[in-house]
Amino acid sequence: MKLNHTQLSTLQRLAALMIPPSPEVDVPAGVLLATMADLLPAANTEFLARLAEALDHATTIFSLDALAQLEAARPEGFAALELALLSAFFAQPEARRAYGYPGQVALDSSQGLSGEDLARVLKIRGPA
Amino acid sequence: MAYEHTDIVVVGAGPSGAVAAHELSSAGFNVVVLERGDWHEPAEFTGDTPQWPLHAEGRWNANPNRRRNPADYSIDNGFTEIEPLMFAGVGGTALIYGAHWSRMMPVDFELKRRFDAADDWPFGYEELAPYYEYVETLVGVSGLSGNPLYPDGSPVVLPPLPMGTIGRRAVQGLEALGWRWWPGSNAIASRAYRGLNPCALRGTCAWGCPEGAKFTPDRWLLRSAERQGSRILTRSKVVDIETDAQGRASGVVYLDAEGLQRRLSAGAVILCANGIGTPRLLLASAGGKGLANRSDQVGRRLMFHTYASVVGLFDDPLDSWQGPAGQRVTSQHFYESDPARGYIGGAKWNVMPTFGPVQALQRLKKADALGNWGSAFHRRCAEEIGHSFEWGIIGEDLPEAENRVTLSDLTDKGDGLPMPRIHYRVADNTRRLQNFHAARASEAMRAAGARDLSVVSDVRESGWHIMGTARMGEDPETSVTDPFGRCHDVKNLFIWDASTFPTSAGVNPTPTLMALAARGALNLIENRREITVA
Repeated sequence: MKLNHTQLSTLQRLAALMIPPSPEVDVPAGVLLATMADLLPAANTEFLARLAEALDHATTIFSLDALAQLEAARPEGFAALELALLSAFFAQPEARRAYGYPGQVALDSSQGLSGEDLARVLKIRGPA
Repeated sequence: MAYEHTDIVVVGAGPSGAVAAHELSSAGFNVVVLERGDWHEPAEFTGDTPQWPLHAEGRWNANPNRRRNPADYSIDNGFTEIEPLMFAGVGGTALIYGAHWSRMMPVDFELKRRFDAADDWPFGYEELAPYYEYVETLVGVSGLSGNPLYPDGSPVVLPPLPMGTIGRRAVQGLEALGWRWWPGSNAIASRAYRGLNPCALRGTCAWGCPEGAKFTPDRWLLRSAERQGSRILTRSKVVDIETDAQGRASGVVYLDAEGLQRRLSAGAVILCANGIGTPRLLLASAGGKGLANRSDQVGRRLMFHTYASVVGLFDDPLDSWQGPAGQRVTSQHFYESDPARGYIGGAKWNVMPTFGPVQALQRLKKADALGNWGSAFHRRCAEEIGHSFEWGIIGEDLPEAENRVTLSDLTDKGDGLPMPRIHYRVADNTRRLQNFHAARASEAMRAAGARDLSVVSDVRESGWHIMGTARMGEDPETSVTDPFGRCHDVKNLFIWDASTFPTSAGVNPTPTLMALAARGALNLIENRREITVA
C-alpha cells in the first residue's frame, strides 16, 4: 500500500505543524516526509491503512486545535501518524544529538553490580 | 493424506516445547516438533535501527491481530478487557519476551490453605525447586543468588547484569521507604554461555534480541534437540488430535508449509501451544466435540497477569533508553497477601527502561495535541528523553470459571479452525490488587525524586501471560490433567504449557512452565513403558 499525492501533501503539512523548527534542531518537513517514505515499508499494511485514513480526514487541519479534534475523532489513525512522524524525526542524527540520545547502541555489560550496589544488597541479605 | 509415525509429537516450539523435545530426545525417543512459525536469526531483529518502532507495529508486534504474520491465527477479542499477546515462531513468544526470570514464591502454591482463596497447587515449592534449578542451567539465568524471600535463595547461574542508573534510582526510593528489593534476575546472558553472547544492553529485548544474548529456545536448546534426533517441522499448523478406538491419542493432523494436510501418528502427543492455542486445539478436536474435557474445564479459568505501569519523570538524566528490558531491580515487598488490603494475590514490581525517544514520549504523552506538539514538542524532548523509568507491576489474577477460551463462530483463514474467542473480565479482586500496587509504586517513584508520574493500572494490550485453561489436579472431575500434565481422560496426551497452572502467582510464568515441562518429561521417561513407541 502506498500513500497518494494528496495524503503525502497532507502529511508534509502536518509534519511542519507538529514538529516546527526550534533553536535546538531544525528538520525540514520535506526531510521528514522523505524519511517516512523510507521507513514506512517496515510497518504492515494495516498500519498504513490507519495512517491513510487519518490523513484523509486531515485535509483541512492547519492548527493544533484542529489536530486535537482529529486525535479525538480518529485515535488509531492519529497514533499511526504520531509514530511515523516520531520515527522519522529521531532517524535524523541531528535530532538524536540535540536531545542526547545515542540510539540503542551496544554497551559493555560485564561490569555487573558495582561495589556500591553490592554493599546495598548486603544490607538486605547479610554476609553470604 | 500423507502419513508418518513418530514416538512423540510436540505441538509448539516455545520454551516448554523445547524442554520437552530436548529431554525426551536425550532419553532416546523419536520426537517431532510441529511449529506454526519459522526460525529467526538475530540479524532479523531491528531494535537498533530507525525502523524499529515501525517494525514493532508490523512483523514483531506482540499482538497477532495487529501483526498478522502468515503463521498467526486471529483471535476473537470481542468479549475481553485484556488482549492476548503471543508470537508464533521457533522459540515461541520468548522471541519477543522481556526475559524476566522469577520463580513462583512458596506462598503461591497454597493460596487456598493460607487465604481460603482459589486453589492450591497439587505440590509445593520444594517439589518444583530442583526443576527450576535444572532449567536455569539450560537458560543461563543471570542474577544474584541469596534472595532472602526464597527458602533456597533462588540460586542463579551467571553474574547479574548492571542495575544501571534507573535501577539505582529506583532503589533510592525503596530504601527511603524501608521497602525490600533485590537485583533482577533475567534469562539474559551476562557472559557467553552455551551459544548465547553477553548482553549489549541495547534494551530492545521485547522486539527480538539482535545480539543473541537473550535466552530463546531456538538459540541452542532446540538445536541440541535436533542433534539428538528431534525433527522440527516449521510452518506446520496442527488442526486435530486424533484418537483410537480405546480413546488414546493416536497422532495429529496438520497443515504443512504448502497447506497440504498430513497425518502424523505418535505414541504420545504433548501440547505446548500456550494457554489459548492448547484449549483451542482440544476444543476443536474429535470432530469439534472436544477432547480431554470430561471436567468441562478445558478453556475455563483463563488467567492473564494484568499489567500496571507507573512511569516517573525525573529532572536529572537517567539514560533510560539503555537495556536490558529485563528487570533491573525487583521488589516483592508487598507480595504476600494481606486480606486487610481488600484483595488476595501477589504482585511483583520490576524496574524497566522506557526505551528510545519514540516510546518514552508516547508513555508520557499529555492529554491533548496542544501539550504534545508544536512548540511543546521540543520542550518535551529536552525534559523527557532519557529522564524516566517504569515500575512495571505484574499482578496475580485469580481463576474465574467464566473467564475462558471458547471457539468463535469466526474461522481463521490460515488454518481453517474456529478462532479462539476470549471471554475475560478483570475481576474486582484483580482491580483492587492493581490499584493498591500502583499507588505504592507511585509512592516509591515520588520517594526516588520523580517530579511527574504517568500511571496506567490496567493496560489493555497486556495479555503476555496466558494461564489456567487446562488446569492440573488430582480429581478428574475438576481438572484436565494430573500433576504431571497428563490428561486424565486421554492417558498419552500431555499438556506442558501454562494452561495447567491452577493459579497464576504474581511472577512471569516462563520459569515455572519450563520447570513443569522438565518435571513432566522426567515422569514420562520413568513411565515410558506406558507409551507405545515405534
